Formats: sequence, structure tokens, C-alpha cells
Amino acid sequence: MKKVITEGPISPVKIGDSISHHQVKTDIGAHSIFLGQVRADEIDGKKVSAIDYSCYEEMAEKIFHEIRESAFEKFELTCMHIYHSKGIVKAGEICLFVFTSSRHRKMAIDACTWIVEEIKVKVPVFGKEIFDDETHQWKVNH
Amino acid sequence: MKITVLFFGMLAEQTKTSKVEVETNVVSVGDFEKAILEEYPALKDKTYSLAFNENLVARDAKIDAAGTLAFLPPFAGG
Repeated sequence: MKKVITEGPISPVKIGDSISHHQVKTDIGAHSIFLGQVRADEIDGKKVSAIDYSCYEEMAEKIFHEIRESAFEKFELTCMHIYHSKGIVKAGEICLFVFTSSRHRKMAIDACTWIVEEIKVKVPVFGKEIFDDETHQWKVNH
Repeated sequence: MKITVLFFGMLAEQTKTSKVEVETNVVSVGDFEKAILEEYPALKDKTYSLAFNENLVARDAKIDAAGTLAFLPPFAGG
């Protein structure tokens, strides 16, 4: 089973490399990419400087796998990659990378959107928002 | 039977532990949860879901063998 969870932020170089690896797959006509970035929210005068992600890793990987299998069933995809960070990801850095490829744009775009929504709701990942004064609060997806 | 109990995120912060092992004869998830809340009252007003052996479970589900029960705070992936 392919691992989704990766330590620390996802580097833009890795994202670029991932795109170039697909240049040999010439049956692909459309890619769709979603990148989740840590936002420096301001709450009660304090700014979020990073999110420390933790997860129930065995269950999270299992659910990522189920989402992946369902996406291949629901959409005509050529390939799909998902990476999610654990550990510290600073504001402005990337914490989620979803990459879907298909013959045509609609399938790639729809699949990418569907996968992101599924991840938000189903995967046991927890985020500790760390403020610039080193206090913290726990993030909740809406 | 032995149940391994896992706490994550803000719940682990409340219980000050991420893992405990509990010997029990209790057979439903809900009854087992009640016993855990007695032990860790700080969890009583918290929002969480429960997973038994990595699958989300309802309170009326049966625990018929040793396994792992995880207390999962609200998800924040992505």
C-alpha cells in the first residue's frame, strides 16, 4: 500500500518533480492539482505560525487507501497521488498535495475535488495551531 | 480481554497519556466508554468519535475480542 503521510511540509520541488514524471504518460490529457497551504490565521490578536499535524496513522493510511480505491471506481482516472503532512508545517508551507490525471479535464477536476472533500471529513488527522507566542489551539474542519 | 485505548490530539492533552491498556469484561463500546470517562472525567465535555480496530463504531457495537479503541477528536486534515 502506497504511503500518503509524509514527515514535514511537502516541497514545491517534489510537486514539480511529480508533474514531470507524468510527461511519459501520453494518454493523459488533463491534470488537476489541489494544494493545501497553512494559513496564518489571526485569532484574538495572535497569529498562527505553524500547524503541528498528528494522526492515527494506521487508520489514516487505511482510509486514504479506501478513498483512493473509491476515486478510481467513481472517476475515469489514469493516475492519482495523495500526500499529507505530519509534524510541523509552517504558515505558507504545503500540507496536502492531491494530484489526479485523466484523459479529459472534467474527470480530473471532479475527482480532485471529491478526494479533497473526503479527506477533510474522513481521515483522522489532527492539527495543533501554534501561535507566534507559542500558545496553541486545536483546528477543526468545517 | 485486553483493550488498548488510544487518545489523540486535544484528548491526549486532557488525559495526559496517548495509550493505556485496560482489562475488561464489558461487551459494548458505550459501556466501555463510560468506564473510560469515569477514569478520565476531563473527556466528558469533549467532542470525539470512536474507532475500534481502525473502524468508526457506534456506541451499541459489541466488543467481542481484544482490540484497540481509539478516541478521535474532530478531524483537521487538509
